[in-house]
Amino acid sequence: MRRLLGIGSAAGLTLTAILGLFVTPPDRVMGTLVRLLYVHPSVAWVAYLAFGVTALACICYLWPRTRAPFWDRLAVSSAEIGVVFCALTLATGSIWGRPTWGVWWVWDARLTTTALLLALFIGYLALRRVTVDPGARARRSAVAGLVAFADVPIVHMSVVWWNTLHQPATVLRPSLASPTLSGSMAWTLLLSFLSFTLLYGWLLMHRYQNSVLEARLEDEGMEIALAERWAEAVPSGVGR
Amino acid sequence: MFRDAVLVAGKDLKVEYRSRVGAQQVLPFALVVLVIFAFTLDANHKLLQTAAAGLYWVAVLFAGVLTVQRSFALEVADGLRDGLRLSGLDPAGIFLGKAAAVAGQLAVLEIFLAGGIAVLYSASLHGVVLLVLSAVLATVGLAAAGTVYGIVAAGLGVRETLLPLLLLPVVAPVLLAASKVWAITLQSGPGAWGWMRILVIFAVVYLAAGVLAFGPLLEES
Amino acid sequence: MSYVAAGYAVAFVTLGSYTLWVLRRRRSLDRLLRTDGRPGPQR
Repeated sequence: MRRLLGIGSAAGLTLTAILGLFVTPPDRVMGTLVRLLYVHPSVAWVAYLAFGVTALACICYLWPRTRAPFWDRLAVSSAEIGVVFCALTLATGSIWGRPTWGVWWVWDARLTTTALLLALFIGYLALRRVTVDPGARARRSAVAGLVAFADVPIVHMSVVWWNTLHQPATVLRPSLASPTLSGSMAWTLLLSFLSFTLLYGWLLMHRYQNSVLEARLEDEGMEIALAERWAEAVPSGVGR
Repeated sequence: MFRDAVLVAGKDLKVEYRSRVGAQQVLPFALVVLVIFAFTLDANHKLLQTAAAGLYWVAVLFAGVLTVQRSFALEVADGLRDGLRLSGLDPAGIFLGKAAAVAGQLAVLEIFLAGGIAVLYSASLHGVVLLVLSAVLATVGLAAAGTVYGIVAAGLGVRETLLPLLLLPVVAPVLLAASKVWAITLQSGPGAWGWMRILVIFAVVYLAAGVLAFGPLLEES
Repeated sequence: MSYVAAGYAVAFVTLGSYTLWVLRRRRSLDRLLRTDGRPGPQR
């Protein structure tokens, strides 16, 4: 399964890059900048997806009947990937924004909310890094993660109200029958969404496996290190 | 639950009253922040007057972080958290009590700071009803969120740096809405009530979160 | 065009680096944990 995801995402991303950079035509209005459309929205989508998965995992962990270390590890794995993609969202958005709006940053609703989202989950990761006891860490970060996520609609509501400059969604209009993108562009966009999502899945599986191993390391690491030291002390292999 | 809340709030406020840390340290700090803003903005009279609402709420936020830190520093010292856990007090009550104490201290601070911006930035404080109402809501929200994150960060060696990092992004909407209301009100403009809605929602959400989460969080902090 | 190139570069380099980091961490974890093949007394 993981191999499939890996190959699928690698192939998809390569194809997306080729199509996006070379094959698809420039936009009537945006010019060549439209090529960033095949990266930025997909990366943003994955960031939101990742944080959503984290929030769900936090709920499942806190719910007594479904509590299990699996959810805690899933939460941190998805959050870490989410932070990477969220930072990337802001970066690619800025790179797109600079030639378009003339500035690297504008205080519009979506950008500001995304920036706050990034800060919230960096805080979540910092909290996890600092808490040593695994049980306490799982519970605290689950609460912190949930509370942070619950804040997002409030942040969004307030910031939307505050200011709105961001591009209205060009593809996700009510009638999908008439997107303002021509054929090859729409397909490339779809491919891009799929490829980045597959990449997310693949990364998530790997990162989750890492957290399982890290938990084992926490448990057994001391014993393993001790065993090694004893092995060094008796190099001839004679048992103690 | 409420009886325990009153008990805890009373304890916290009594400690504050006797030690006077809030009055002697946090309040002067907040006032100095107001002065420093003037330095950085080059004492531009017009600019300070326009920005008065925003600067006010930033100063309140800084003071709030310090107040929450202090509120939990009290508990962490001498292993008092164990005392809290074993006391048989309802955790939700403890949460409400601590949050109320923080809110109370912040409220007093805010009154003085309002005087500060009236004097230092020549802000004319009309529309008192709106100012007070929004301040009450915002303070409740800030205190509730601060107390939730206070217990999350409590007992960790890096509490001083972790708490602001966790708290500030979360209370951004409160800052936004509160300074909007104050800015509109100080300039006698329209549309303040809409922003109040955000303050209400935030306060309710974080009071609820605290009441629900404080118990489990206290158990293994 | 340079902005587009920069955007793609930032995206792919960042994701590539993160992927490598995750995989490298996996390898070091495996190495740290799979020491029960080594000679030595019972753990």
